[in-house]
Amino acid sequence: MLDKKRIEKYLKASIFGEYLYVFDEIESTNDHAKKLAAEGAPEGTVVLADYQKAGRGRQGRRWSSAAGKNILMSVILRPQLQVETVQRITLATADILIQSLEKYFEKERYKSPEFVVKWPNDILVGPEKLAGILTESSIRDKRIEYAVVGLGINVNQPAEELRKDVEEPLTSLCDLTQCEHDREKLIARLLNDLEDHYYYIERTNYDSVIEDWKKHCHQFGNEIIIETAVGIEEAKFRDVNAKGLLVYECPDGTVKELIAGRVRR
Amino acid sequence: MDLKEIRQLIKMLENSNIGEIEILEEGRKLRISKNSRHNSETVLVSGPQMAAALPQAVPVPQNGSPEPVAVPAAAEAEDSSANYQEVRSPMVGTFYRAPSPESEPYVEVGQTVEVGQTLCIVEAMKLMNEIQSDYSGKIAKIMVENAQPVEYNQVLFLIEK
Repeated sequence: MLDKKRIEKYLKASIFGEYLYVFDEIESTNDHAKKLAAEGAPEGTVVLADYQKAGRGRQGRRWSSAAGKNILMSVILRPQLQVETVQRITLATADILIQSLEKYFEKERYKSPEFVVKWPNDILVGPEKLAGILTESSIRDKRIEYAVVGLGINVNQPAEELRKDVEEPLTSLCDLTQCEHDREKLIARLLNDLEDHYYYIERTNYDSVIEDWKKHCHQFGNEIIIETAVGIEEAKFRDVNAKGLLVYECPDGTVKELIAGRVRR
Repeated sequence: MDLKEIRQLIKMLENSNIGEIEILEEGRKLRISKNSRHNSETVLVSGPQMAAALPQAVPVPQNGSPEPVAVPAAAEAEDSSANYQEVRSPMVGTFYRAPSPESEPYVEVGQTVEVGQTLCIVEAMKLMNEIQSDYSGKIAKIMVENAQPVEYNQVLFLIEK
């Protein structure tokens, strides 16, 4: 089970993780973080769980993870910038997570695979999903009261043990390195990096987010399938614009922008 | 509509492949055109539905051949009357009435809501933005269908004062 004291031992961040809630079992770390945020919990408050009874992704899809194996973490943010600007935080989080993993692999002398993003913010190695990010915010009077960034990272559970009926191929850190990883150390490292980068992007108006994100994207030019609540479209992945929207080309040559939806290869 | 909104409209028109916009709002008419009248497409929209002129997936003109944009035009003049408070979208995104396809909607017409109660989600780039009510009162009308694109400042709900 997660050892809170060990996480605190490795934590260098001063704000992220100052308030750290660690549960053996919880419905959903995002739901609990949202509840804490609504009650006034400060920015940087972190909720961790060894097991989620109702872990979920976008549109209520189930996020599956065995007890005590992976990282299930939600962080409360209170961004100060305009609602439209802050939307790019989802892409920024993916970039931060990849950079943090790259540094971890280098420090621990593991042979680093290439971590890539799938729009907007799934993290993959090759075609296999390693981590998912679900961000939820509360908006009142055109201001973000709080945002909760939920990270699900497959760490010590081999992909073949992860949910059998999952549609997409999966991987985990233990599959990539053929060994187990110290979750407490990884969590602390992630929080340290999240704190640094988050305050940097808030200071710099999220200006560099898209360019940084694109460095990890290999989807340009790919044939993709776009799934939205209103239908499924085949398209070609053209670009991601300055706002973070996916620019795609339909079979008839029309170019469109996607603001929300699911992209499959 | 103030000067700032008119400037935004002009900018929006310049960047679009729409030739002309005509807006009827509270008895006043505003027409902005970038073409001569004879060869332009006129898009007529009433106040509350104005933002629908820019759908979620905006076709970008290719090779300089502009295409007319189909606009769901509907006059809802009576709803913009002074009896209602308007809840507007703080951003561009996709509007959802429930947290997931299997869940019950956050609110229904006729339901009384409190200040701070979640009314809907507007999603952009997998950021699920829960929109809280700025008003208390009865939901008189839900202005957008589930899973449809919404523009910045588009009216989402009318709440009875």
